[in-house]
Amino acid sequence: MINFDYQSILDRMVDSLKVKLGDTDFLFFSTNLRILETVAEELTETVRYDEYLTRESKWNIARNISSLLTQSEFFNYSPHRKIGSNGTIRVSSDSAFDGDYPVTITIPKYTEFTNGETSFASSSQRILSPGQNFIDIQVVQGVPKIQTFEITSAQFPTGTEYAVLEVNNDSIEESLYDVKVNGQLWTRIEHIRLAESATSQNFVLRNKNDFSGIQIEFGNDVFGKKLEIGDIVTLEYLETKGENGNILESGNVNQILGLFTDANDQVVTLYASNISTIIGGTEYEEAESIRVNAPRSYQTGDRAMTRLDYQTLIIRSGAVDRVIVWGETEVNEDRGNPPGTYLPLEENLVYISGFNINPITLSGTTLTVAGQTFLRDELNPLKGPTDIIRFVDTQFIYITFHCTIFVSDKRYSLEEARANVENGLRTNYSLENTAFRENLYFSQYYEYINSIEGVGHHRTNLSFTNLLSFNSAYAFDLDLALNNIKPNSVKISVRTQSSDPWTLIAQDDGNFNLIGEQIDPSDSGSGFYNLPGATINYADGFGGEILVTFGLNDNYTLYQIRVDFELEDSTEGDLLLTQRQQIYSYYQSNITMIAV
Amino acid sequence: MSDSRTFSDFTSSAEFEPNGSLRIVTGTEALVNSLRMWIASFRGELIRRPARGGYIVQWLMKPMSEEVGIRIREAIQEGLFEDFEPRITITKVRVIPDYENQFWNIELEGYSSLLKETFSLSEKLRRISQ
Repeated sequence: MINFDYQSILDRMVDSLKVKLGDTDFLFFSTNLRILETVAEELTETVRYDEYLTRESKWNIARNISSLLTQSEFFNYSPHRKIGSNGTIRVSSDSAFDGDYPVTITIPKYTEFTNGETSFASSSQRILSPGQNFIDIQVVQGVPKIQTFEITSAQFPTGTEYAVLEVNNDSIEESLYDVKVNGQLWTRIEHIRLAESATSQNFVLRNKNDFSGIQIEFGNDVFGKKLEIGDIVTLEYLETKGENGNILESGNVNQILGLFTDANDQVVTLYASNISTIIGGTEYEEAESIRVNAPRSYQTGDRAMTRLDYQTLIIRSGAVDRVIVWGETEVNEDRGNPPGTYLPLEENLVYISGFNINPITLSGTTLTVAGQTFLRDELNPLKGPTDIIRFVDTQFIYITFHCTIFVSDKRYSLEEARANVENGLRTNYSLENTAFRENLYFSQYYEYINSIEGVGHHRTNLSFTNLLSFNSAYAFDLDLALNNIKPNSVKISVRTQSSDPWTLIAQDDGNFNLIGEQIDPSDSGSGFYNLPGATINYADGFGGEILVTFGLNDNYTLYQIRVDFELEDSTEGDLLLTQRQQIYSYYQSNITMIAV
Repeated sequence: MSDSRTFSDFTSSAEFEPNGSLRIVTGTEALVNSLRMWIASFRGELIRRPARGGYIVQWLMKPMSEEVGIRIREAIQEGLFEDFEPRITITKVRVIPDYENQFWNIELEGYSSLLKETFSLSEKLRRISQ
């Protein structure tokens, strides 16, 4: 094998030259050796550079993100830039969000909201109509920016065919932007040669290959309309903070910037507040993510045909961290039907359940209505025309591990072993590491806890928690969707602030009924929370709509609801999920440490 | 093959033969060519051998004096012993200052046991003003 390191190259050249010079020796300090050393050094650098280029041209071993971005085109994959967190902000003309305004108010696209530090922009124009106390507006994190280009002959001396404009900003948000030419909105396409006609008002927007900005390409009057000298091109976009723009508390973003007028041109004061977390902000796509996602995307052919296509395209959109998709085949399987059984009401339905993971609390957040709309817009051009998308809220089953840990190995202190168990459970059973409809068997978690450093042996039981919210004034849907709920174990608690303790408002009586608790346990005259007719079916966990008619006084949107329960099999038992949208996750642990 | 054909080299000043090819020196002429390159070498100039050469140049930067002349002579003697290949025996080293023209005249005589021949070298080194 020929080696191309410095010494091997030099030795070969010296041998070759020696023969040419009559088989004489070279002196160490000699002109010919000095020349050969210089050439060998340069050849070594050339070989090294060639090796570098070869490596960077290979998808599996390229290290530079610019190499992967360049090659992504072959996979028809466009790695994402920074993605702004997204969520919903409630807007009203009433400071308590409880009164309407008699005249229509238009809230334009790119209206800016802020908490003083982080800005958000509305993703579409919305109307607050008379009779509406508020509207919920989808927002994306970022400061609205406008960049204008005037097309001049100096800029394009050889003509404007396939004109490319560049914007150098490494924080341009991925999803929300508009390109207008002379005030007219043009449409983005994947490749300029996909323009439908010579007059199509299309553009291609792609990342620069180091994520330092974007390029906007226009047509040539054959593939899409070309720009003309004198045209004014405007790019409206958001400058986002990416993952640093997540808002983890509701009620945090409550300023709306700008002057608003009603349909009669009267100035109106508007109030705003985010009703839930605004999360999902991420940095630009990392090299390893691109390496994995691009081939998957290629496999989908940019078309949503199979379950995996849907899942890949949804994850690629950045709308959710985790997703599951199912359809007729899975429904038949779940119902125990023979494969291919005709299900009139299920034909063409594609079920999608996805969620984001709160980066701080690691809890799950179901897809918002705004997020669903975004995903529909993403999937509509890619899916079959007869596919009907139906979103299903993910049901998170949070687990509390009740462990008694016996520590026999004297090398481990009780606190050290406790920390190992707590961290191990939190990591191993986090939403990032569990899967939709994956059961948790006693043998698995028993074995896992046993394998944690410092644990001699243990006894562990589970209890479970569902976190819910009110759909309307003090009404919520209760469906634990698990079999064999343990009687006398169901407890319903509420709170209005994440920092507040939970207040128990009801528990089951062992006979299917949910009974309200005394409002103030120390004051028998304070009355009882009233949940008329509230029941829980122990066989399947179904409770239906629960209405709290007495005892709660704050705005219903502020309440968090927590339902704790156990299963008949909770003592050293299994957690058997019954539905595809269910996923379990670590919630907390009660650990008792015993040295033996 | 005779011993005088043991070494060959292109001249350090890249002289050409009348036929246009580079002139090749052999034997003691090649050895002297090598010594000339060693004397004029800077520390670090040899590729991948940063510790070789450069014994004399540091003294060429000093103001000329008797003391510096002694240092240069010592550097030649010690440096050739430590750094030069192949082994040679130095029989005479003279370092003569030319203060007027700011040159050091180096005269060197010796014997190569490999070539079984004596050799001599006379070289002018200009003082390097900083």
